[in-house]
Amino acid sequence: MSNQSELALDALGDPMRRRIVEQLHRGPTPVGQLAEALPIGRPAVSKHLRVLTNAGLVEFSPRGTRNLYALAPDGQRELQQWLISMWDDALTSFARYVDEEQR
Amino acid sequence: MIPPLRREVLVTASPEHAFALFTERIGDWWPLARFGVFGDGTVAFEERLIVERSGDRESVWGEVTSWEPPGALGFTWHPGYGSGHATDVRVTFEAAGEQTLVTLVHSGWERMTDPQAARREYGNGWPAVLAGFAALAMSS
Repeated sequence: MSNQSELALDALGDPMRRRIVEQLHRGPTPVGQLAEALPIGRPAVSKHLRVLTNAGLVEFSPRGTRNLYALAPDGQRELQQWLISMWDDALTSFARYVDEEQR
Repeated sequence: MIPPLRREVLVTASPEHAFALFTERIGDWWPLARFGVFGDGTVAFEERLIVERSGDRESVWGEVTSWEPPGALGFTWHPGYGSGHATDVRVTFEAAGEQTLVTLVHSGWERMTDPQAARREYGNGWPAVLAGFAALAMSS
């Protein structure tokens, strides 16, 4: 697993960060608006956004005088890769098991 | 939106045998330590459900939706979140000479329209990861 996908998975292991991601599906959003929609304060939202940004899932997009956060276009790719690696691991393990069975 | 994932593997067995091992012995080959809800449990096809158990705890990963031995098997897939928002897995077993080509297609991400309502927390780790994946996969 690459470093980046580990970061992405760690970031999404937190329910509040998943809620932030869900909010961002509606479009680029300022921190204040995210804080209003969630049961946590603005500093806590900023902290979560930093983790999501470091993980490559969210990006910061300054728009005029407003600072907006948005889902990173490539953010899904790492996770898709993770899911692929899960099935590859499972199927490889299956093939090995079948081989041992046949012996 | 995430397109269907498709993975393949060749196994050294007839389709009949491969189908039987895939289903009856999933507890022997599934990498539970890495991809399990409890980490120290067992997993099995029980009637129409795929269930992981550890002590008196259980987690239903999915439900069999088609059972066509030896050629194909379909089940819903929702480890760690509610069945109303399950994704779909279809596995086919196709003779390839002395071997069998096993093809797995994971689809149905479009059903993940409301992961907040669908999600049931089973703790961190693998299910949380899938729930996170569902959150990301959701269309706006």
